[in-house]
Amino acid sequence: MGEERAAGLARRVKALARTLPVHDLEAGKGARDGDWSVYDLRALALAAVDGVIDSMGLDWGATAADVRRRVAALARAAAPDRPAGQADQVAAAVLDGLLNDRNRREAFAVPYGDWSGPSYRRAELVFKLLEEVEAPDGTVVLRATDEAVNLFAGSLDRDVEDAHAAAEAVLESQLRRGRIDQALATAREARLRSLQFAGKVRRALDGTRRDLRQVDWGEDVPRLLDDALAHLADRLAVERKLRATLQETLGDLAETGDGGEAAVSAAQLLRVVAECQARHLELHEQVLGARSVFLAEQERQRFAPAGDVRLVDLGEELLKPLLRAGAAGGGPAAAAFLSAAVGAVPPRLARVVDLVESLLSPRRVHDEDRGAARDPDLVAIDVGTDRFPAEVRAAADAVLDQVGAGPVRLSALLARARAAGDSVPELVALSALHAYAPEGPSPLRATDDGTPLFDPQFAGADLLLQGTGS
Amino acid sequence: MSRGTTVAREAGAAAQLVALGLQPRLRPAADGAYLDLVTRYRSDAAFRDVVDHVADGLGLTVLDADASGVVLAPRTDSPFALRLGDYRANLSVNERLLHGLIHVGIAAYCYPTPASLLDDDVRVCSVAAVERFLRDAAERLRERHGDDDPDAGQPELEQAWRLYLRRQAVRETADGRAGVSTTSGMVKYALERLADQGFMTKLSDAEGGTYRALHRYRVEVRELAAVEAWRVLAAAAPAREG
Repeated sequence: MGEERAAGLARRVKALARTLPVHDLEAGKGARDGDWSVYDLRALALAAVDGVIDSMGLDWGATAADVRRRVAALARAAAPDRPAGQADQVAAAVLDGLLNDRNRREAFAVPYGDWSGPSYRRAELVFKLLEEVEAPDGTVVLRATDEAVNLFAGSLDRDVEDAHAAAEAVLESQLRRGRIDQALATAREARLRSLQFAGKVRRALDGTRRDLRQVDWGEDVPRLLDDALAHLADRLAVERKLRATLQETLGDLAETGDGGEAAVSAAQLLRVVAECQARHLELHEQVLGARSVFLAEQERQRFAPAGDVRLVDLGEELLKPLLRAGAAGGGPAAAAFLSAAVGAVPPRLARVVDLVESLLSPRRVHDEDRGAARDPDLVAIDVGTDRFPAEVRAAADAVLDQVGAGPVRLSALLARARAAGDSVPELVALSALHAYAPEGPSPLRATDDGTPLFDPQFAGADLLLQGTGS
Repeated sequence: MSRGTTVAREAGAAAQLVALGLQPRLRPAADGAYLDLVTRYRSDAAFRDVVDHVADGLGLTVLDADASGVVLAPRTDSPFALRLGDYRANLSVNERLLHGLIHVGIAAYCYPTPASLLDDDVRVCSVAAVERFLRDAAERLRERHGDDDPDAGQPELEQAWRLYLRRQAVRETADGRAGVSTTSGMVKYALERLADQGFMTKLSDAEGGTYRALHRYRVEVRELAAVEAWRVLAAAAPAREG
C-alpha cells in the first residue's frame, strides 16, 4: 500500500473508531431494564453532544442536568406512551455512556490496525468524548473534547487549525451569498474552534507552570506558539473583514426596510463574531506572553526540589502493597496518605476577647436546675408605690380609653390630656411609651412611623396608638 | 493596612492569599480580591515567590493556584497538618491502617491510571462503588493466599486485606443507619471528610452517597499524598520483605 493511502486509511479508521462508544450504547440497549427498542440511542447521543457543544463558550457551559433534560425530552417525544421516568433513565444512560462512567470516566481505548508505519502494527486509539469539568465559580459543566467536536460537528479528522480555517471560509461564502441563517450556524462552529485552540495553548502553559520538564519547550511548544501566532493573525484579519461585511449587511437591511428575521440573525451573527474576536485578542496576548511565562518558570523551578512530580500508579504502587502489608509495614504509609489527602486543617485559635467573655459569662443553668429551685422567700410589703394619685390615673385612663381601632397620634392624646389636668399628660406619655414595647399583654399598641413629636414638654416620636382589644 | 513598605505590603497580600487558600470552599469567582490575588500569583513571578515563601514559613506548599482557588498542602511538621487523632478519636493501629487504606482506595478508584492524574476532568465515586472496589481487591488476595489464619498474638502483622474482609460491608443498626465501624461506614466517613475539606461535592444519596471528586483533590493526591505515601512505603520495603 502506498504511504499516502496507508495514512489516509489510518485516519479514516480512527474516525470510525471514535464512534464506537455511541454504537456500543445502541447495541447494549437490549440488556437494559424494560424495552428500549423504540429509542435510537445513537441519535440521542449525538443530540447530547450537540447540546454540550451549543453551550460551550456561553456562560460556563451546560451542566449534566441541563443536557439530561434535553435528551429526556427527545426520548419522551420518541415514545410518549412509555411510563414516566423511562425517558429520564434513557437520558442518564446516554450521558453515562458518553462520559464512560462504567469505566470510571477513563478514556475510551479502541484497538485498530495501522499499516502506515514501516511494518503493520495493532495500535490503540485513546480518546474521550465528554468530560465534566469545574467552571471557575465552582459549578460543574460538561465539555466536549476536540475529538467529539470534530466527530460530531462533521469534520472527521482535521486538525483543529484546519477545521477552524475551513469554518471561517464557509462563513464568508455564506455571507456573500446572503445566507445569514447558515452563516450564524457556521459562526457558532468557528467560535467553538477558537475555544479549542485556546484550550491547546492553555494546556501547554498550565503544564509549564506545573512542571517545565513535562512540556517540550525545545520544539513542540515553540512550534505551537508560532502556529498560533500565524493562525491568530489570519483569524483576526478574517474577523475584521467579517465584521465590516456584517455591518454593511445590517445597514443594507435597514435601508431596504427588510428587517425581521434576517436582521435579527445578522445582529446575532455580529455578536458571535465580536465574541470570537475578543477571544482571539485574549489568546493573542497569552501567546505573546508565553515566552515570559517560560522564562519566569525556568527561574523559579530551577530551585524546586527535583523528583517532586513522580506520577504514582495508585492501584499498583500503593493500594496493592498496602493491602498485603500489616499495620507494622503499611501503617505509616497509610497514615501519611490519609493526612496528606485530607489536606490543610487550620487549627482553631481562640480569640482572647471571646475567651475572656465566655469564661466570665455566668454558667448556663440547666432546665432541671431551674425546676428544682425553691420558691424565693418574699415578703409582701404594703407601701404606696404609685407615683400618680388615683384621680390622675382615672383622668389618663379616660383619655386612653378613647383610643379605638383607628390609630390616634400621641400629640392628639396629649392635647386632650392637658385639658384634663396637670400630671395627666405625663402619665399618658408614659403609657404610650409602655405600649411601644409592652411587657406582657397590653390594651394599647404604639407604632413609630417616623413622624417627630413637637411638644413643649416631651420630645421623641409622635407615636401612633391603637387599641389591641385585649 | 495600606501603610508600610512595599515589601511589607507584598507580604501582607501574600499572607492573605494563603489565608484564603486555607478556606477551601471559597472561590475566586465569587470574591474579587481573591481573584486579583490568584491572577497576580499566576502572572507575577516575584509575588509568587513571596507567596511561596510565606506558605513555606507556615509549613505549607502551594500546589496549585487557578480560577478555582489555591490548593495548599501541609508538611507533616506544619501546624496545619492533620493529626490522625483529629481524624477520628481512639483508633487502634489496625483501624488506622484501614482508614488510610480506604483513602488510598478512594484515590485509586477515582484515578485508575497514572495518566488520569494529569487530566483535569471531574470524577465520580460513591460509597458503594469504593467499598466494592476495595472488597474485590481484597477478595483477589484471599483467592491467592487462602484463608489460613494469621499468627496469634501479632495483630500488627495481620495483613490489611484480612482486616478489611473481616469487617462487614454494611450492618443495619437499630436506627437504620450503616454502622460506623463497617467498611461502608468508614468509606462514607472518609468521603464526608473530603467534602468538608472542599475536595469533593456531594452529588446525591444514591449508592450510599455519590460524590464528585474535584480537580483540587486530584492535585492534592498527585502532588502530595501519593508521593509521600510511596516514599514512606519504599523506605519500609526492605524491612517488609525480610
